[in-house]
Amino acid sequence: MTVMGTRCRDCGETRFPPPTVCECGSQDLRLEPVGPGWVAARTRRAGARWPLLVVVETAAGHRIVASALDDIAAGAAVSVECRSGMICAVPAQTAVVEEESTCRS
Amino acid sequence: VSTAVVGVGRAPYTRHPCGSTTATGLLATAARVAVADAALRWPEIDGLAVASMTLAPDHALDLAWRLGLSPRWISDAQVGGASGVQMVADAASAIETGRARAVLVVAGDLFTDFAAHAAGFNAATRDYLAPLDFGGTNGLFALVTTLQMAEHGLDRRDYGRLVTHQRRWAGANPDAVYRSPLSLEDYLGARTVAEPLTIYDCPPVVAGAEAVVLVAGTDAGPDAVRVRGTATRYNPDHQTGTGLRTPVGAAGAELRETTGVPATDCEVLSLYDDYPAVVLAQALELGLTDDLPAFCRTLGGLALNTSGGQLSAGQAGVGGALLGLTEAVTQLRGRAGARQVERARLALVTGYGMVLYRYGAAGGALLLEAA
Repeated sequence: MTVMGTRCRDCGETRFPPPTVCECGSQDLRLEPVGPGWVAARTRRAGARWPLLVVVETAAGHRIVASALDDIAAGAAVSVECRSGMICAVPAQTAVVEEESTCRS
Repeated sequence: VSTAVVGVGRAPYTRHPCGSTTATGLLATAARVAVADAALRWPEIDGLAVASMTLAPDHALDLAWRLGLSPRWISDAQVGGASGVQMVADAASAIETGRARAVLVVAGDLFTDFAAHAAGFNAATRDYLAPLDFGGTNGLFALVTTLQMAEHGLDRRDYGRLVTHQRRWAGANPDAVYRSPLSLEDYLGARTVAEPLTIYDCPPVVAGAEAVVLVAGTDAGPDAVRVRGTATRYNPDHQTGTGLRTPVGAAGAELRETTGVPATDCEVLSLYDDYPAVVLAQALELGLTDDLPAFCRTLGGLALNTSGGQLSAGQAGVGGALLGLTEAVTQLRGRAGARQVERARLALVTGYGMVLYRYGAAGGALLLEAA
């Protein structure tokens, strides 16, 4: 499932996690997919279930924290997918549409 | 009406509290020490500000009851590491407007399950970060640090210089939980928590509490430390930035404008240090340097986080929001013993915290002046 952020119809700003009210005061917020993007930063945590934690920056201006199941390099192009309730950064060329998801978006 | 700090207190930090220890007990211990240090009688305390993440389900009013206080003014602070500056700013307002005459400000924590606390810190963390096994704030600040390294050309040795600098100060602080010498080689060889952070980049969680007592300047004795000014900022960028610009930047600029005192004029610097990258971000924003690698290489005898900071003295939860303040007051009163900074007259204290999603969203700064 595609992870969704918001775009404000009044000021055009994009946000993730989705806010209730835009900083311009508008509540006219449209849900939009937050990917694709590129890996702006990554870390490998000792003892973590998933190898990488990354920040994905999208062309629209979203910055999303995601897990990466593969060893993705900084700067790599990725899609942002919700898999089993977890936001994942997936190499762009192998991104797939995921099954039912519990990601809140 | 000016405001002054007339008493400081602490519940000693420990990594391994005994089973009978409670958050309320730690706050009470720090409070009693601070009120005694202020040479005030307990019933004279008519204002109470509290910050604690583990006092729940109790709040400030419950604590007032437990402490036997009947205040005219109370406040619960919920802005994490920025709570200290916020509570002092609010207490000063309460005193200046006549709502209280002697305010006890206290903060501290006792965590029994820190991982669970971190995973449920707020709704955004619960919904978007906890499923990732994100590693708490260590994982998030590893990402911030990575971005800072790239933006400023920093390497691990630079962060190590800052961490070992603070450890040297901690060596002269009997209250610090980690005082033994730490070399750059020790730092570089330490166990990784989340690349590039090692155990020495992450504040050790301790049980403990800090407290201060504030009164009107006209009620203060010769040993008081005057609060010259305060400034706070919240949610300045809606979590849309990189995390390398902190709320302390704007708060520090306001403080400089209102007091006319730049950070470079302060003999004592207590910069909030949950992670080394946060210290360096503030150093840049406060005008202490415009070249972070050079700053790290030339720390020398700079009186920066002279208690050892949270990285060496320990992070007693929100008590860390007052650690820099109690240390600065101790320095300005000339009571810091082996770590006393000579001719300490002005101190800058900052606070930073409340990671809403990727980095802290609250910050503040205050300026203190010796009597």
